[in-house]
Amino acid sequence: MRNRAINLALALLVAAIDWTAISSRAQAQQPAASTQTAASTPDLSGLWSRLRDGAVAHGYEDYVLDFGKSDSPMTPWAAAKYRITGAMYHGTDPKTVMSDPVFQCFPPGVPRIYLFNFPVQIVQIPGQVLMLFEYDHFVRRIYTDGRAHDADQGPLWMGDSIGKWEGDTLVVDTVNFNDKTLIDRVGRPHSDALHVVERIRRIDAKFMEVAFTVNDSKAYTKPWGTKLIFESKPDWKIMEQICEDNASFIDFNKKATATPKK
Amino acid sequence: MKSASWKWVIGLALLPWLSVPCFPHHGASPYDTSKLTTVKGTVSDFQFINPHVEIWVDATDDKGKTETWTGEANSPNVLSRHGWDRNIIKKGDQITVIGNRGRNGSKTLRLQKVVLANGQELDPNSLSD
Repeated sequence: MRNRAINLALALLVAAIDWTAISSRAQAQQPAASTQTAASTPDLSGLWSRLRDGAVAHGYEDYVLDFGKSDSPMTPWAAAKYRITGAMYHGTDPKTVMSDPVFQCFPPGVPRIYLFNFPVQIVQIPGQVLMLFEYDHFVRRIYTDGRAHDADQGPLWMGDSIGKWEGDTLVVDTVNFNDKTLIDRVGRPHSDALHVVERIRRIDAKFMEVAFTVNDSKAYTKPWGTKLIFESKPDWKIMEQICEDNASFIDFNKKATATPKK
Repeated sequence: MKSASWKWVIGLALLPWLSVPCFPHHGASPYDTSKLTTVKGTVSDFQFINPHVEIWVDATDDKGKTETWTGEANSPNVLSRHGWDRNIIKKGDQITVIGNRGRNGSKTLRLQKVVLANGQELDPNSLSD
């Protein structure tokens, strides 16, 4: 009995030592940058809506469909692709228009997601900045814990994003896109070499700026980009918005609510 | 019968402005954005749903035949930030809808303006994509 008590005490002691060692190791393995807290970094958090009406008054463009005022000439490869993707928007056949991946509910990519007329909520947590878009509830996870890009993933619709703080600016570096999304809503293409850099900062308490650069030497003869202005909307909330097709829903709803025939 | 006293009017107004906002799921191309069509009639259905708010309007043509037009507006989220809600239009309401008609000749409108019976004007396309 006495021996069993001693054995139990020893076992508990060993377990306690092991746990202490594991905890210490786990803490040591935390990347130093991940201890960066929301309180110690600039605060971008909140709900933001891109200014269209009124953007010009603030010195920004009122982009609706495209960023065409600022892009670069296309390479022959991209120009050939644009003859097809651009035609989707200039034709009159709805089937052709529907060949835009977004109209089939595929993700819009970056920077195109900024063209949608829906707000985004930014949430900052240690090691990450989250962009919670209302449009189709897309989430962009921007890792700010010092990690490198994940080179093991296949090409992605929304790319792989890492970020770092430079003073008051969050610099977001996104790579590893597939070549299936379009830059904008008039069909400008990009390649799988697309590399987007966004510089995001608060202008003041009410406005935020997202300045992005498109680097894609396969598609454009030089890097290009522009600046967007977002307005804080503290009284708004993110509502349900999912990509769906009205016609199929209405048909489904009729069938679902129809009185069964006896 | 409910809309027998209403006549639908087609106003073909060449727009001096050719802004081409397009809805998230089919763009503007299927619609003739160079012309506006005005339809006055009785609401037979109203769906405040994603991705587009839909209004069905029964109107009577000049031969006395009742036809149903479908008007499509922006998303409920966008419109709810511009004064709309699920009860703003009800079945039986007399309204006027103004929009770009489908190029394929169907009685569909990409709405640009909605006027309620009390004269209140609604923006169905505010800052649309």
